[in-house]
Amino acid sequence: MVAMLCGIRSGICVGRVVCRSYAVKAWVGEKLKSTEELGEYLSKETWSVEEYLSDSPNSALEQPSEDTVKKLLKLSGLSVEGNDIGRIQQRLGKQLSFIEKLHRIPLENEESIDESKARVMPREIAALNYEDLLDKIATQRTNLDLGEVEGSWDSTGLAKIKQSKWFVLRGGLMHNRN
Amino acid sequence: MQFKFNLSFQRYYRTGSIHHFEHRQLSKYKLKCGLEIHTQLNTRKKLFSQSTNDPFHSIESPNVHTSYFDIALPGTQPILNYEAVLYAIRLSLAINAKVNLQSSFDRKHYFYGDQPMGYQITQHYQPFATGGQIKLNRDIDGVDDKNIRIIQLQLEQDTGKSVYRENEGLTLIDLNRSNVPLIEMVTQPDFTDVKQIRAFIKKYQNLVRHLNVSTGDLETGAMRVDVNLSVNDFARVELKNLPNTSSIINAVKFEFQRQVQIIEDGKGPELLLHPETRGWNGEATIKLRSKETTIDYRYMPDPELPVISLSPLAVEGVAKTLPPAPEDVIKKLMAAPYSLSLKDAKLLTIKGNSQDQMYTQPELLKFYVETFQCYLKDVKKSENRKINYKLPTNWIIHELLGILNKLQMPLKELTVIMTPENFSEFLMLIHRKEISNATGKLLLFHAVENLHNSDVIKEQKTVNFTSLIDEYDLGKISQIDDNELEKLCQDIIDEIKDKKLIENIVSGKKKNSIKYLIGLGMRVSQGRISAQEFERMFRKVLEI
Repeated sequence: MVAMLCGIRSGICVGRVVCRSYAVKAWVGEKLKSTEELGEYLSKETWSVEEYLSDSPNSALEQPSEDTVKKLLKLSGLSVEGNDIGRIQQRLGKQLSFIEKLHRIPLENEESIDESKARVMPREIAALNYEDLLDKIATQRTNLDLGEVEGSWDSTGLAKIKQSKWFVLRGGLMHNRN
Repeated sequence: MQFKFNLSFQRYYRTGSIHHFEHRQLSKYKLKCGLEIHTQLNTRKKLFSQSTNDPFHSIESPNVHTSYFDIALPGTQPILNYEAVLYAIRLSLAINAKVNLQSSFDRKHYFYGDQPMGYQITQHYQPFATGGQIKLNRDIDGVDDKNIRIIQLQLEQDTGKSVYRENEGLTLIDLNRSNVPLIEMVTQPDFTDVKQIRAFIKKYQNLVRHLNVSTGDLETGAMRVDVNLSVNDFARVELKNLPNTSSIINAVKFEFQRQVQIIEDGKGPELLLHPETRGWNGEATIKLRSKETTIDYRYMPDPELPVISLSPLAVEGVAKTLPPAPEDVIKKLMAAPYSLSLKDAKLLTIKGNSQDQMYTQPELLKFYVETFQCYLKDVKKSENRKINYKLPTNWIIHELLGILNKLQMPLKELTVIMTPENFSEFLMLIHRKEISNATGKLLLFHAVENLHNSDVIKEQKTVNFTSLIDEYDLGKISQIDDNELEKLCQDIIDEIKDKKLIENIVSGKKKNSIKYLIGLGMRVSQGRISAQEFERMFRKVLEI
């Protein structure tokens, strides 16, 4: 538990450093030795999300228009009716300003960064040769923990409405959306 | 995706006959078409999970091949199945497309019941392969030579299957098909005629079957074709929901005529200004959506999947394992020494539509070619050295396959016991006229049936046709009753209408004509009585 929190602590440190110079490696702080130390550590406020949300000079300009919000609701399969459009505009505006701030963070070697590799997964992947490819196929295994073994679970078992082994979609869901 | 039909264009439907168009001068209307073909890959597992990929055969058992990821349980992540990558390389190479060594997956967002994640994982920004072409040619495809260029190939997931229960206001969803790997192939708008479209679909279908990357069946939905069509460079119309070749062809024909009519009425600039999507109801194309209702898919790179990074060696390695192109195999089979007809050459090369074929084309082709080679060798060793090129084809394609089908016996089971050498021995019995065709058919059927019903296959013995001939009493009769033989010869002589022939034999004018009588005797006895026996008896009867 303590070790995990050390990780979080280091993560927070990374968070702060990132804003300055985009450090690639995490900085691990001193180990927390007792529950008291842990409590003390967590009770201290070292940063705040507000700090990153409030300093945009053009936050009003970044608010999406009413029409954009309505379009987004439609694309997301959500109803326009009963939603506070003004509030959604405000919240999306804040999120946009946060994203905009992230975009403004200076990066090391910005020119050489390949945006297509900006993923959660490792960025640099060794190119597969023919043998690697065959090996990858040969070593792929069905995983019981991922529900991949046929008959190991009933996928419709979790559904509220079902017919035999079919999932059921109520027609109304399709027709009444805006 | 399924959409409610918008009937605002109903006044342009022409559900009646379209024959009156045929009298019109159509040459000034230029048809331009491109195809978007979705092909289900027949990998063992799905694209981003290791659950079974078998949507067609599991149609009666909905939602059995579904992992947590396939039904989009929160927290599940995609894991790429590299079988699909291998198949995609094979197909890309076969159409001369350039495999992009770096390609990546993107999310295409839209809401529909058969799409539980709310988005489809596809390849929008960096597709798997780009370029390439499929050449249509007169000899093999039956249309004028034409090069159809390919824009790109992308790997993506299939959706689930929806069954609409209109009366109950419900839709039933089966996710066995969800996350099955698809390749979307897009062509340039190079088609100018429906015949080219038909030939292309057939050729592409044959290709995916030949490469063994898909069943290629339109009927089962393993292959789905959308058509992009425009006339005289007006806006493009996309035709969707076309379940089979005849729907595709009829929809294109109908849509062409519909647009020609609009242009003739002078309404082209008004009605054909914006692209739209239309479906096919069996009689007419129907507007599904237009510019105003175009879906914004909000594409974004999928952050949970790494890029596919291939070295040139991976592509080269796959290239080495590709079978020769079907067209090359067909040409080879039509040339000497095989000299097959186009029909037979195709049968040996290209998989048909049948779901329960008792052989694969590579198995059949191998068996045919090896048998042919054995037969050539055996003929060289025999007295009658005249090669009958059609003998192996006739007996393999037209006889053996029929028997296998009748007995529901796979070719690969048979060939363990009935090797090409064996089969050539059988052909030589016919070649040497030791047995007639009729006897040959009987013999072959009994031989295969015997193998099918007995443990011979398990014991891995080879077939001995000579002993079978004895067993079924099909062989030559060595101890023949002289009286019977005399009657047989007398009957043959009596049947001959040209009495001069007999006179010439008796007088010695045409001594060799006795061979004709012997031939008749051999035919009547199905080759079971030797030529020498017949000669002896004819001489006795004719007193020469």
